[in-house]
Formats: sequence, structure tokens, C-alpha cells
Amino acid sequence: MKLPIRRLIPGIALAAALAGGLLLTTNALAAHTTPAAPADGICGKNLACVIAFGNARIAERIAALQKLIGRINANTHLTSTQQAAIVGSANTAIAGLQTLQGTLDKETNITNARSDVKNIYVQFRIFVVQLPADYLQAYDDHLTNVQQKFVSKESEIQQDIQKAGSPGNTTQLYNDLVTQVTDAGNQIGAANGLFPNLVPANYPNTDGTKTQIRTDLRTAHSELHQAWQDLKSIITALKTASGTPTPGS
Amino acid sequence: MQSIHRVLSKDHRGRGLASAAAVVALGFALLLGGCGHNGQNSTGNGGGASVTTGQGNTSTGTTTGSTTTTTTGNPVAVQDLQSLSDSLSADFSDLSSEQTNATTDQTGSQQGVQP
Repeated sequence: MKLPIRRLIPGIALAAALAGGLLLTTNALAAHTTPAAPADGICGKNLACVIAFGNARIAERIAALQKLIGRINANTHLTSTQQAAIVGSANTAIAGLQTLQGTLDKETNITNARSDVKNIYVQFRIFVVQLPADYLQAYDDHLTNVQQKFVSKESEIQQDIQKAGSPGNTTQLYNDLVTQVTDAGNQIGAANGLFPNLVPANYPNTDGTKTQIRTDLRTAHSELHQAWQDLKSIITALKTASGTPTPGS
Repeated sequence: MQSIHRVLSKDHRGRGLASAAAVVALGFALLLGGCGHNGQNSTGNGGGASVTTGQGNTSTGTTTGSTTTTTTGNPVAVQDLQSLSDSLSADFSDLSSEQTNATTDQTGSQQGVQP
């Protein structure tokens, strides 16, 4: 018995339509009633996808840490000890990430792979804790050096003012300079006391610590800048008193 | 007469001692005056010649018969302070970018995405 093809086509089409409709309905129902579990995320059950995702996150973190290292090594305002401390901290984080990457790349179980990827965030907190802490430390170190520069020259500034007969308001300017420099030292000291709390294990409380350190250092920066303005005014007054031409006069 | 002579002799000896003491005192005074001369103020005699002693800025006023020179302060070499200020200028220039780096959080490209 041989059925002509032309008589079978309508039946095949109807069956295909019914099957397609059923499939769409099933999918729609599934999407509506059983949302994808967060653990499945964008990779679903694809282990290679999870590993590739983790490697990409590790790569961007290592790149950011290496950028930091480049900036610290190029920072001529820091002492070699200060540079070494920050670069060492960043290199420790890079080594940890590379170890984690080695573990991730060998995973054969997608659940374990997802756990490794999670650790990129929770163990290291590179963007939210590590890098801010390192950049803040560099800022703190530089401000410390500037503050010390002022302190080491305070007596010389005072002697020069007295030698010139304390012309104009140089005494008041000097007193303000000393006040600004002293308070800047206090602000930097307060920030230094908070740095030990700025570690990944303390996240998310690190947000408050970070904010406070930033406030302290910004204040110190502003005060040291004011001290510099005082110094510039003192220099102008001393030059005027001794008859030395000053820029703009 | 003898008693009168003894009294007069004592009187002469007393005057001699007093004169010697005055000479010593004058010597000390001159010595002290000489030490003090290298100070802030000095006075010279007239005739237009000014006497400048000590160090520092001086202003000279001439009056008839005398010239007075007064020291008001020292010229200060501010090169050291200017160098400090120039050095601080470089510091503050770079501190601005360091502040930006330290106060701006970075984020990853797939923040919050689950694989």
C-alpha cells in the first residue's frame, strides 16, 4: 500500500503545528512558573561558560591591580618603603587570584566552578575594598610626606620671619601655617587608625570606613594646601621687606 | 697742729681712693659701652659720615651735626623657602589626581551578573 505524498502533506503540517504550539505553551508556562535559579545565571548548565566567565572577571581584576602597581611605581612623591608596601599588597592579591584561577580552570563540576567564581568577589573584594584601600594608602602616604615637609621647615620659616623683623602680617600667617599643619597631622593620624579595618573580611562595613578615611584625608589635603598659601604669602612679604623684586610686583 | 695735720692727711687719702675708684668705674663703663656698640643702634658724629654697625637693613637719618643709623631687620635669603614652595607646587599638582583615584570606586564589567 502506497500513500501519495500529496495526501500526507496536510497531515504532517497539522502534526507539526500541534507540536509547535505545545512546545511554545510548555515553554511559556515554564518561564512563568519556574524562573531560572540564580545559580544557573547566564551560563545555564554550561561548565565551560562558567569557567570562561570567572577567568574574564579575574583578568579584569588583575589588570586593575597592575594599573595600580604601575601608578605607584611611577609616583616619585612616595618613599621606596611606601611604594613597596602598596605594591606588595597588590601583588599578594594578584597571586591569590591566579591561584583561584588555577583551581577554577580544573573544575569538572559546575557547582564547584560557580563557587570559585563567587570567591572572586567574596574573598578578594578587589574593586570595592582592595583597590580603594591601596589608592587611599598612596594618597595618605603622600599627604604624610607633605605634612612632614612642612614640619621640618617650620623653625626655618619662623627664624626667617624674625630675622626680617616680622614684616606685615607674617607672624599671623606663620601661626596659621602651624595650626593647619598640626591639624592635618591629626587628620592623617585618624585615617591611619582606620586602615586596618579596610579589609575584604569586613565588607560591607568597609563602606563606612572608606568614607571616613576619605573625609579625613580630604580635610588634611585642604589644610596642607592652606598652609602652602600661607607660605607663599610669607615669601612675598619677606621679599618685599628686603627689597627683592617679587613676581608681579 | 699735729692733730689737724693727721685729719687733713686722712682726708687726702680718702680723696685719692675715691678718684681711683672713679677711674676703674669709667674704664668698665667704656668697656661695656664698647661691647654694646655692636648692637642694633649706633650713633656717629656729624659731618655727614654715617656709622653702620651690626648686620641687617639700615636706615640712616642725618641731622645737623650728627648722623644716626638704626638697624630694623636683616635681609633674608628666601631661596630655601622658595624651593620649598616650588616643591610643594609639584606635590599639590599630583595630589589632585591621587585624590581622584582614592575617592572614586571602580567596578567590574559584569558586576552582579551570575554565570
